Amino acid sequence: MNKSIFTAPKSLDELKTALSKKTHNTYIVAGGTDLAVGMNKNKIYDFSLIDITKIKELKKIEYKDDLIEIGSCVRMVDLEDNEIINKYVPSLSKAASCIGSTQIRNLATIGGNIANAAQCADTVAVLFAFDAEVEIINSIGEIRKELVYDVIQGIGQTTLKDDEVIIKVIVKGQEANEYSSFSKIGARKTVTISKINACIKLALNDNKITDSRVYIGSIGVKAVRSLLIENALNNKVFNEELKEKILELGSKQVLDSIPKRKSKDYKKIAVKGILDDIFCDIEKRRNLDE
Amino acid sequence: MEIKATINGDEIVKNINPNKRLVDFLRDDMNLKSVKEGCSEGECGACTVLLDKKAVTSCTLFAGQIDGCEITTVEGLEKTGELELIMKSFSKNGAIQCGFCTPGMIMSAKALFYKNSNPSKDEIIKAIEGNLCRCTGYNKIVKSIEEVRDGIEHE
Ligand SMILES: Cc1cc2nc3c(=O)[nH]c(=O)nc-3n(C[C@H](O)[C@H](O)[C@H](O)COP(=O)(O)OP(=O)(O)OC[C@H]3O[C@@H](n4cnc5c(N)ncnc54)[C@H](O)[C@@H]3O)c2cc1C
Ligand code: FES
Ligand code: FES
Repeated sequence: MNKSIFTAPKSLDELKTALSKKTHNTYIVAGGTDLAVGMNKNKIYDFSLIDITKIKELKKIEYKDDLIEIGSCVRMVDLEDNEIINKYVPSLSKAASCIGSTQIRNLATIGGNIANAAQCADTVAVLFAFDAEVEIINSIGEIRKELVYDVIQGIGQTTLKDDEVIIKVIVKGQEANEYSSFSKIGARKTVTISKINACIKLALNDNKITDSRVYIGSIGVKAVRSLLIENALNNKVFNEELKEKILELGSKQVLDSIPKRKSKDYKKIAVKGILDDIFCDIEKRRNLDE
Repeated sequence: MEIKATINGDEIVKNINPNKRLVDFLRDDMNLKSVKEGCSEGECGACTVLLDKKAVTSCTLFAGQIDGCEITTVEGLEKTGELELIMKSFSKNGAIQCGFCTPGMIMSAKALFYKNSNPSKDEIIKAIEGNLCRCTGYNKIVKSIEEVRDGIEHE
């Protein structure tokens, strides 16, 4: 039996040292909401931990040169309440506020949501739509950047090496003419791993959509970009008629992405609800701006 | 591993197994039996405690993670005398049947009061969304918390 070790580095330097001593059964822990539950469920008791939540640097949200830097240990509750995030990445606040329960949001971190790579991870759909990147550190202190989209390879699979830790998420905030929103539907009212979610980001010139990004989560191993919907949005006038068309295309996207899965019958309808929700939310935000 | 933490107002320095879940540490090592384990998956809220005044499910984090932090359980509220008013309100309103969810409900309510001493009904409902009760149907629990908010005393 291996000796269980628990380390809680307080700085990136200490983290580097801890990573250099990491063995194959040492796990990184942030909020623990996936890891602690998983270890208990799988009856794994013999392991070591590196707790990264005592590193102050990883808990900051900063606006730097047009970019928003979110420490990997920023919790859902922080994203929900933060002014910078509310203003520049409102769909991320919305996604965070939809996660689990109060108790879970008080622990769950953005870095954990990415690294856990669940098919329906809520913040991930938003981070894809914003082309967000992560900064990753390794045991010799090297730092690399990668798109969140590329880091996540499949369900529970990432490009993260054994000695690597996500330290930051970097997002370019939306401009004054840009809007974004997120919605999801899950099995239970609040506490749920969402069964289907989506994020839409639009750029508008007056009433005309000049650019769009659309990601739908849970209809593939990771959130799927819907070019079908984006093409239908681009260069069109943002109105009720367009919305109706997009809802239909949402169903088509689900059928295209998961033609053989049983859940398609439910998801092709559910997707309309969430797209409708997103449209209404964007409409509301536009009215507020006017 | 030696940890330093404040548990229900007492500073402790203790050698613990940091890889235990917090719920196991509190129940087994600290004998705080108000902390209940229901689902073990973060879903039911029976194991809710306060970590630095915020409600968390103690089955979803590791004991070592509380080093340097403050933990409060129902036993802590009993010590400060706060529990009495809450319990009277819960009992009077029929908000306790089997009682399994009660400690978790109380801790979620307490976390809410720390953040907001005058929460609305909706805010109360949101604060206990992660606490399941299979007996009461929630209305009585919400009413009890509203009465605690309003300082209504029951005999
Ligand atoms: C009851 C319940 C409800 C939930 N509801 C939702 C929901 O609605 N939507 C949703 O998306 N998720 C949900 N989740 C899942 C979970 O809460 C999130 O995925 C959360 O963001 C994970 O973050 P954490 O900090 O708790 O991760 P942890 O459990 O600490 O870690 C998760 C994994 O990521 C690794 N890791 C953590 N941080 C890093 C890092 N910085 N660098 C490298 N690796 C790292 C860990 O080693 C581990 O493998 C729910 C979980 C529970 C228990
Ligand atoms: S036992 Fe922890 S939430 Fe159910
Ligand atoms: S009183 Fe029985 S679960 Fe709530």
